[in-house]
Amino acid sequence: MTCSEFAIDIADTLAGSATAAARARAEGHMAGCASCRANAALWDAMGEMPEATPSADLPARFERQIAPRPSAPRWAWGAVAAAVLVGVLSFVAGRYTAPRTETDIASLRGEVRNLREVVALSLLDQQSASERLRGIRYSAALEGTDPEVVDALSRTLSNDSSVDVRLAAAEALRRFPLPAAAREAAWKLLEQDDSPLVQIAVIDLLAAGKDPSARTRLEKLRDRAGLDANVRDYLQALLSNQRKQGNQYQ
Amino acid sequence: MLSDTDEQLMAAVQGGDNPALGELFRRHHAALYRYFLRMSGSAALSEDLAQDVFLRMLRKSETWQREAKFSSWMYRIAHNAFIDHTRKSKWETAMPEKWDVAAPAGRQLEQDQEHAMLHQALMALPADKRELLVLSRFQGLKYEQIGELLGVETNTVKVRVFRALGQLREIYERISGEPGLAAMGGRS
Repeated sequence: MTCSEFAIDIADTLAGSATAAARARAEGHMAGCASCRANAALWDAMGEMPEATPSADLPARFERQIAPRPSAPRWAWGAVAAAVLVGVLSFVAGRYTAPRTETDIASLRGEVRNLREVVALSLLDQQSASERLRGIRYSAALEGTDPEVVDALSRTLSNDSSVDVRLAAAEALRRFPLPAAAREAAWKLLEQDDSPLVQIAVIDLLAAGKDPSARTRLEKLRDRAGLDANVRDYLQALLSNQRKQGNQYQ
Repeated sequence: MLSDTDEQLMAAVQGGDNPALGELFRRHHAALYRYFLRMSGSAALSEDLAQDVFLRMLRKSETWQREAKFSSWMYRIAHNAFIDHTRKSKWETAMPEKWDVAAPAGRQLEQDQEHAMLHQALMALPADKRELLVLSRFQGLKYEQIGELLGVETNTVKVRVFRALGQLREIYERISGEPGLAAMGGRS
């Protein structure tokens, strides 16, 4: 009989879940099969590998992420509701009481855009990480570039306790031309953030911009001692690709 | 809360009790961390992904069914989180060959070398086969649980574990340059 015909019996024996008969069949086969004995030895050796432990402060860090944050004041939601009402009433009144002009339509569009910005900013300030993610999605759908929204996204990227939210903020910011202050905040974050996922998202953000000094700074970051090995590999691949594509930063 | 079962705590999370999620995190984060570490080789990434699993639980708490075993659900989310991560990053093949965590002190050099080679062999296995060995050997999941997690029959899991182990041995032997594992004191 071949080894494969004993696969189930051997797997059960290794896991300690075999019946007496299955164990006898497996051991009988292994007694005459060096290859299966070596597999079993490997299984045993895996069980002796040392167990790594995560950072001692990981539970505390996680609890900070899910802890309630000071919520937006009630008046903020009142203002959003009032703005929605005014917007709807203005639209309805305008539609039925006066002929629409190009100026009216442009004005209404402006009001709706402002309203979306208010909603996005309010969501970004919520205690729930999922609400803040909604705020980011909302802001990413905005037309044009509102400096206040870019600033709020930049603050979220730098300070939010949730890795998911920081990642989403980095992604959303790629839509906007980054002002110098936000760019510098992103560089600073690269030095401080301990999440490789966020670091890579920020690298993408900075590499996508038109900062002429980005390449040099990314090379310096790649060579920094203590940088996560995955981030270093990613940076190396990115810089090599850019070099092949004609050094777009120089 | 300390005497509550995982399932009772998860029911509390469904009811909006975030501290219950903190307690679940304290109970399971180390196991999840080790799962991700065996899968990715990166300590920092593993801490991120372990947190991500519990944040996903918070976001998707309505998908947990009260009759389900919490740990099976947790590993399903972890499995999906790792797949999402590798799809998003697309640099799985660029993962470091060595862990970015220090080897434990005080171990005999020879044993440390064996473990380092074994780890290297594990990282060289295709991710799906590596996951089978990680779940069955390191995480202590029963074959039935793994079958549920991966959506395959229990006997299929056993056969796949057997094959993955054989492939791991071939890689290990290539790395160590020695046939067989007599030095490891295998079963007789």
